[in-house]
Amino acid sequence: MFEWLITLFKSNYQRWLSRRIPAAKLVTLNQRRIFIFPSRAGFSFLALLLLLLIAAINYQNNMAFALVFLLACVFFVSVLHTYANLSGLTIQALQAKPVFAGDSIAIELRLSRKGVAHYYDIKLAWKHSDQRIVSLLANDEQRISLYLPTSRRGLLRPGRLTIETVYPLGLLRAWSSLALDIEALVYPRPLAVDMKALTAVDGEEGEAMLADGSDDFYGFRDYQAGDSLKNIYWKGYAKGHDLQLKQFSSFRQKQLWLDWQTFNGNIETRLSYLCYWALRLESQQKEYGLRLPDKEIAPAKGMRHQAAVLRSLALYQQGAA
Amino acid sequence: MQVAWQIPRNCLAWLLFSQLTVIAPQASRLPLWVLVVYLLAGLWRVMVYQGRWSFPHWPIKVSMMLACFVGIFLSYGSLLGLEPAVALLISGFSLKLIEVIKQRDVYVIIFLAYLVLLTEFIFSQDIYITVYMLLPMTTVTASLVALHQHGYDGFSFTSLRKAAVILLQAFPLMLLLFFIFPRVAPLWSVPLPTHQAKTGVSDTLSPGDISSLSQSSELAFRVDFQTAIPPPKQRYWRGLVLDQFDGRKWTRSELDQGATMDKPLSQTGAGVINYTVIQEPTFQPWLFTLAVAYSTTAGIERTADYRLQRKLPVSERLIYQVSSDTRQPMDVQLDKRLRLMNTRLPVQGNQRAQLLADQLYAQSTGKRDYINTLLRRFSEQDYVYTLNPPALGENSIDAFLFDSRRGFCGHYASSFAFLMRAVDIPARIIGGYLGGEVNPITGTVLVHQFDAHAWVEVWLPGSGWLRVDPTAAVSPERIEQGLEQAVAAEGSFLSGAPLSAARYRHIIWLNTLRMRMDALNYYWINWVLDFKGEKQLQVLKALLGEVTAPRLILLVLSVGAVVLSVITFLLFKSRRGSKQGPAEGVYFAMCRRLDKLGFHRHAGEGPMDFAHRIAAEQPQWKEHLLSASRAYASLAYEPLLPKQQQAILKLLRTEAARIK
Repeated sequence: MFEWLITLFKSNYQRWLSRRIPAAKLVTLNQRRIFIFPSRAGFSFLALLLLLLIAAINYQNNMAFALVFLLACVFFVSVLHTYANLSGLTIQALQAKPVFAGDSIAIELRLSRKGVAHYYDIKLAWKHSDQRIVSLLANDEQRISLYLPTSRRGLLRPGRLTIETVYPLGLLRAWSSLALDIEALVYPRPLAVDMKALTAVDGEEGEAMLADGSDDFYGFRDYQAGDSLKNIYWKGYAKGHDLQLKQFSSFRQKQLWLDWQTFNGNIETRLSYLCYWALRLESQQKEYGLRLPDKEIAPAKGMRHQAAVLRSLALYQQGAA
Repeated sequence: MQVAWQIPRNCLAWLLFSQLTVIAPQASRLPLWVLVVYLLAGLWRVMVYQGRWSFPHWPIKVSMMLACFVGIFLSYGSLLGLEPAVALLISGFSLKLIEVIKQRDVYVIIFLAYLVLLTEFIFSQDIYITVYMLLPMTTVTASLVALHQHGYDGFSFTSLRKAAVILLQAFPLMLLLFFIFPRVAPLWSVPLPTHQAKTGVSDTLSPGDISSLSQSSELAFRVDFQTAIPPPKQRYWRGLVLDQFDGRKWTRSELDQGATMDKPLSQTGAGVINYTVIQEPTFQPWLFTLAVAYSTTAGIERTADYRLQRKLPVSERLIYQVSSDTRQPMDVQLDKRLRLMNTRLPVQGNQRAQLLADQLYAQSTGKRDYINTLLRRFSEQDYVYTLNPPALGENSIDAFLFDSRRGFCGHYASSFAFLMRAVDIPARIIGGYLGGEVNPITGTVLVHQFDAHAWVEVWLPGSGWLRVDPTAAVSPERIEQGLEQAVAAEGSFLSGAPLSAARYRHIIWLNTLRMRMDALNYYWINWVLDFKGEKQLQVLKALLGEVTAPRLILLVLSVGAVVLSVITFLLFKSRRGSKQGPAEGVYFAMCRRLDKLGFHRHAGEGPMDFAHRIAAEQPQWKEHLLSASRAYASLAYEPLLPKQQQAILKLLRTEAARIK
């Protein structure tokens, strides 16, 4: 019934927040950015104070009054202390290595201080990530990785990072909600598929082409994400080698094109197939090109080429390539 | 990957220690087994933490809980009341220790500890207790801090330091609140301490009773006279009237105890003494005043036998205002029932005393003459005032009067009253205190338990009740100078209390110290514990001129602003960004001097590169410039120990100073 009101409030809050705390790579916490409010324990503490005050009044006991006043002032002073435990901290988004959809992405952050004061129990978390508790005692900075689950390919903006603390007394919670200017690339989830019809650029020379399920044993290669488990060389793994795949040969060509048209299925499935093959060909040190409906990458090999290919796959039809 | 929350080791250590400090002042009031339960629970918790034991299963926990309830019920005879409640709280937080605790439970334990801290003040607000309470206050807060310090693996004092800093910063603000917060009247009545041993004068007297009090140097009450302090021999602090004698002991009859509704005494006029009594808790209702007393303090009533009495027992220190009219007669007319009660004696027993009374009364010319004859008899015959009288047999009055002849106030008062009643003169025993010493620092009179005394009131037609003290006839020193002088020859003064400071009054510096401590206590009680109502208003008036809301707000804001800005400065000075340390200061100053001389350091040029470049041009600086630059580079980029840092900084300073 009041959902529209809540939505309105939320969108207004987000807009207000983005004006007050704009996105940046590196954020130093100051009074513009830190909010503070009693925690749940803080409210219980206030209830306790009320109880103690009533006792002091009923017993007409001046030392009981003094105790209540002291505790009340402790609460009050701890506002400053809790606030100070965030103030002056700098949070920097370092990097986020691309992952495949479905994996958790590790976003690396750097927490540092300007002065020499100790910082205790700083809790950092994104809305859906795990949380980490960090202290800066002898060390001036601390690097941490927060893991954020991904579900779909594309450009991931992790939203606002919540950084909070209840130190020293747990009665107040100081927090800030930071839009760190960081983007993480999520590649399509690789899906293994047979591919009989890789298009050769120059069909002069023939080469054995790899295909799962064919009869002739060709050799080993390292396991890669998306490979089916049935061809894993378990014996070797048992002996202590890395996970390896048995490969069977049929026929292959020298320069290959990964073509959108080769595969069937919807957009995401096709991208997953292409992703699988890009990884696989790269691991075989083959040159390969990519042909998407709106884009073409000339055949090449190497990390940079692979990154470009995967990036194109991740961003296909996302508008933000 | 959710790991179950575990209490930080540092927090557990502080929690256990703080509980010890919280329980310690309560220990004397708790049954021993509650302490044992706490220690066991603490031990169990430590063992669990070390992985040697495991948490008890729930049947054990439930039965322990029930056992505590039953134990408290058995120890106190009730679960209601203040003492059982405190014992329950303490067993509660003991048993909480041996559960799997979440962070929330630690909050509960700590909040309970604050509550127990408050209950201590209901029992005692002594200055020593209050000073001590700063310790548990700090340690409990330290465990709250430690709860939020997951960074430490082991025990750390930083928690204590942080707690102490927070408390210190809160302290001035607390004082401010203490000054201005209005002391509202109680909202409802609350349970008072009840399970306490009653102290002071008791409401029965059989020869031998007051002797045990005479060995106690505890303070009974202080008196602050607004008018001149009467001499010691007139300071008869009347507390109890014992009008019923069964042959061995004197007790109070129900007669004559009810409250009366006298009109209040006008506080001026000849013979009127105004004073404030600050009475220590006795857990009995009677109060101690000079006859005939009136009080305007709420909760105090006058009885028909001219005493002041509180409606409830004095379970906390009580301050009451009294006006006494020493000239006012008591009961000029004595009604029949009272007359009967105050002349009644058991039919049997003490025949020799009865005979003596009849014989002496027959020889005397009247009632007053008879009284004087008896007093003369006590002073002229070989009666001895002693704190170590022999035990008396069945007919105690006879045995004392004719055989032992050794006794103290109880013996003399009791036999004197008997001899009065034997010839049908109404007489009763009065229990209370006599004398007291004056503290020269505060000008207050201190009355101790060893000042306890018993005397007699005799009713004479036309005069009413008259005070007669037979002890005065035996031992004038007791009346004039106090108990210590009265038993000086015997050496029995406070012989049972070798550690009492009052016993060593003759050592001057010790006595001065004792008086100073007493003065401290007195000011504490008068200006801190009793700081409310009129006193509070007066202080605020003196401070503000007049007490109005705007002035109060101004006071709060100005004091608050000063305190808060100091706290803010302390907190944030070590969090600001200016990273330029002393090394940078010295080095950049040197660079500025070189710049003026025409040697400019390029942007991005390292200190060593710069030094080598200049040294090539100006070889006279080479040595100093190179070592200064190296020192700066070390300070800026190398991890150094504080000692090394200091040494290198010194080198940097001297070398940089040579570059001119």
